[in-house]
Amino acid sequence: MPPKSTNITTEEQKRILENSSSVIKQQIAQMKKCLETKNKFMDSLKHVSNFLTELKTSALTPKQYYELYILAFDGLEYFSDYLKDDKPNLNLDDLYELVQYAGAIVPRLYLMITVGTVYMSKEGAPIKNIMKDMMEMCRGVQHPIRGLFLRYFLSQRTKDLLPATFTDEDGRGDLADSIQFIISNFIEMNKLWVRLQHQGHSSERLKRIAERQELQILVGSNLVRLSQLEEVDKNYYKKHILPILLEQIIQCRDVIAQEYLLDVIIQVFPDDFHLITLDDFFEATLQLNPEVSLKKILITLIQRLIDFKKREPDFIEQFDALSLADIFDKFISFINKLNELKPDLSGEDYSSILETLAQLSIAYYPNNYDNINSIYAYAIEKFNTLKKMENNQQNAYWKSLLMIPVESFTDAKSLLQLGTTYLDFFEAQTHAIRTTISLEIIDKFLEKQTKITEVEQVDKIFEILKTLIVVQEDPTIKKLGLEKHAVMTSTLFGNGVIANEEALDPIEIVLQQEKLAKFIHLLYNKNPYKNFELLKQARQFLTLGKLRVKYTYPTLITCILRLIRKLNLIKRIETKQQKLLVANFFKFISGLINEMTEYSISPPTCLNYNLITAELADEVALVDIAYDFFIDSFVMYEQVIVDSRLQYQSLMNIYNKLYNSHKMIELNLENFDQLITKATLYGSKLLKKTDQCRAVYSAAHLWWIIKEIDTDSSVSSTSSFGVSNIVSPHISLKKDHKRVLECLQKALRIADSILDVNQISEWIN
Amino acid sequence: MSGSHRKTVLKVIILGDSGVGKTSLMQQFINGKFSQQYKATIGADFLPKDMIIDDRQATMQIWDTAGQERFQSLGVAFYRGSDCCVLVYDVTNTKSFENLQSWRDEFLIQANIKDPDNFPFVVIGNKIDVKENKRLISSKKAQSLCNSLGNLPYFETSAKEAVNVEQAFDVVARNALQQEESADFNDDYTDAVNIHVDGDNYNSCAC
Ligand SMILES: Nc1nc2c(ncn2[C@@H]2O[C@H](COP(=O)(O)OP(=O)(O)O)[C@@H](O)[C@H]2O)c(=O)[nH]1
Ligand SMILES: [Mg+2]
Repeated sequence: MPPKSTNITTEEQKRILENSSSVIKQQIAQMKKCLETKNKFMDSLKHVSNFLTELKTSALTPKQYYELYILAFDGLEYFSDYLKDDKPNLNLDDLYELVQYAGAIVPRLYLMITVGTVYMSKEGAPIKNIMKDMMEMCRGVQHPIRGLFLRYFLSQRTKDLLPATFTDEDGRGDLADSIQFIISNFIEMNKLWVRLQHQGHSSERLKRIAERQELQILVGSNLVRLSQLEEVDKNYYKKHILPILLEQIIQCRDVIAQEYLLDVIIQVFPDDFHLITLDDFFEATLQLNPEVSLKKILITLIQRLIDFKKREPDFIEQFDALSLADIFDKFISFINKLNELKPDLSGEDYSSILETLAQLSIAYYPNNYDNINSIYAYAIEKFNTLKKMENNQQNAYWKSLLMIPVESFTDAKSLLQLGTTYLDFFEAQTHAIRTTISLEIIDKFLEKQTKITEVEQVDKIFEILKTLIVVQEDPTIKKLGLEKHAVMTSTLFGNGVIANEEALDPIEIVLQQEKLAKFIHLLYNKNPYKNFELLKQARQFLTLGKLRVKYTYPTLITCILRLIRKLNLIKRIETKQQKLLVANFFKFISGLINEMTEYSISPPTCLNYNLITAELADEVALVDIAYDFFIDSFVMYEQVIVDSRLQYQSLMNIYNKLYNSHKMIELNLENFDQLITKATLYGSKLLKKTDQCRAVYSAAHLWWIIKEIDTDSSVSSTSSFGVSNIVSPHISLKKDHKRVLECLQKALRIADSILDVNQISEWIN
Repeated sequence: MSGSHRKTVLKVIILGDSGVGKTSLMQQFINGKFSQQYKATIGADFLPKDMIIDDRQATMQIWDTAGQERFQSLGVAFYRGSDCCVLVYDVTNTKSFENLQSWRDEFLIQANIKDPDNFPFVVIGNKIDVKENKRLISSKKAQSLCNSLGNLPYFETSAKEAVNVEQAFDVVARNALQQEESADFNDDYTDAVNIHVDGDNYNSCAC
């Protein structure tokens, strides 16, 4: 044997490769010339032997060796074509004998396989014997790389010549012999391949691994060959092929071989073969070297089955219904065995196995939620065991398992069909993980605009989203009593546009809450009363956010106002009964605003919600309710709006809404007068004189209210510019000259005291 | 030498993402068979097909390849000496279409093609038997890519229903033959030089 290639440099290898390549090319060229010439056949044989001699090298990497192999292969193809076509009379028996005496063993065997396979292709050849002969002879090369390529050559050359049916003519072999031939070659190649790992110095372990990975397809090609045998059906495969393959794979105990070969089996044999051999396959995986990544193998298998279902959705019907009904169960009982025999399987592996399994179930049994429930039950169990073992170490790899329902089901709402195991498992996760998942779930729902239509669904989804709502208890804040303090200061000086808390929330919290607010819009039912129930239910959860309601309640209010408008539009606020029902809507809004006020959330905002609610109440002719909301607004104005600029702005807002309360004027003028009297008074009490002056002047409008009448609705409703110049028909709803005059006079008096006349006239204009 | 009585061997490589139907196209062309079953290809191997192109006998060596890298661990030395390269995509798979160009580029580099602009490629859009709504790549779009890659011949086929497969491979064979003839000339030239330089006793063979 030539010395080991241990110390060879890459440059040297490159040079050797170049040199050998050119020798092979030259020798092939010369072989061709000799074959064209009479009586030069023996010379050509010599050239063949010469180029094959280059394959004796041990100096090259597998990839480099493959380059030489390809060149030599081309030469041998040419040579064998010549033998086949041009030498019909050449006595192959003789030739077969002849090459056996030629040169070194490697060239001799290549030549022998070339001639042998030409021989096999001839009519009446003793195929079975030739097969046996060649297989036997190949044992002569035990160097892993050379041996693997030689046997690969054997496999390539014989592929179309092996008996392909189960009928044996004159003892020349049948398909069973072919299968045995391929399997023997496989077993021998696997041995060579595994042996390579144990050659050379241990410091070259990594290099060996790399070499072996390059060589792997040579071994795998035998399995490809088996899968190409058309006469082999799935039952034959289950009975006569797979068991031998698995046995060999188990016996070799080699991690690389086991992982790779099982992968190849999964890839090259058809899906229906796998469906009937799941048990055998599982059984084998439990006997592998403990270092083998079971996860990789199982995921490959499951993924293949999932792809199959996607590619051939109708296959199920053709397939034996019984054996299909329990694919999932088969996997589950395997998981049970796995837990029993390999309790130390890592959480990460376990979770990704469960993850693909969930995907399998969703692909095959889209309506079976029990399967998914049981997957989460398994997850919790493992999670808890690991928690004990790993000392409460929580890991992020469970996250994608929890995302499966929203990501793999076509309808994200399937998440809400799941049982309690999902939530239990979810709640076992860290706050950080739960937060990410909650946000991603919201994203999924928003992306597809998936509506939440039932109260139970609200409960389910908010049990998850609670993560975002409830403020994470930060022990440091609690101890110092900072939280309380913050609330109190904002009550004392609760006049800022922004409440103190708002400034404290980090940006990611703000974004989360805004997302949550967007989600509220997805709570939808065609029936406005049912829709209301959904929103009410959501509030039960949102209220837990305490100060955070400032982000979500406004949306809740907006949604309810919209519902009321809708009811009005479809004329459902007519009868007493209907009005009572809607009154609840208003009451609910009032509760929300009160809660926000209690948390001292932006008083002008709260005031504004009171006013727009009052406005709507008036619009739908619930004038008593409108009155109440105005009163609430007034209380708020008096008690919590302290800043003078805000006071003025808020008051203007109040005037504006009062001015538009036409229904109240019509239906309860007494209440209205009470309100505007009070509002006018507020104006005269403002802190700054200028504000007073403007306010009282504005208040004058409240005592003379004109309503335009739509005569030609199409014109007046679309009117914007230009049309405003036309005096539209109008009626006076309220006309109190005396009060108007009083207001204007008062405004003038105040103005007098602070401004020169020019300025006054300027702004009166 | 160009008057060689030996029949010509045309080496053809089929490339494309896994699952586009490379193996199926080859099976349909060579054996006239189609299987719905999916068996991944590992490594690379060829099937021979004898053809007569304008009275010339030739054997097409059609190399079917694995679309996944992990199944091509020994590299792609077999690209060398190709006479034509068939690029296949699946009309229902956008990614496979988008990858066409990188398959071509990879081929040109690895096969060490001397004159890339004139090397014959043929593009095939396979699986046109599928329902209209599953088709994601229009003929127009594919055609315009082929034009931009240098007016490559383009065929739409169904390996399943044997649509256009013969036609596509006929063009493959013709283009391969043309390529082979131009390459042959170069090969002979190098061989002659080498033999001369070598000056060994095999020289006598060159008659
Ligand atoms: N409908 C349809 N399916 C095809 C066609 N060609 C191949 N297939 C299917 O696509 C899958 C992959 O085919 P295959 O030839 O193995 O692809 P490869 O990985 O490129 O070799 C198999 O399930 C084939 O049955 C076709 O023309 N039409
Ligand atoms: Mg294939």
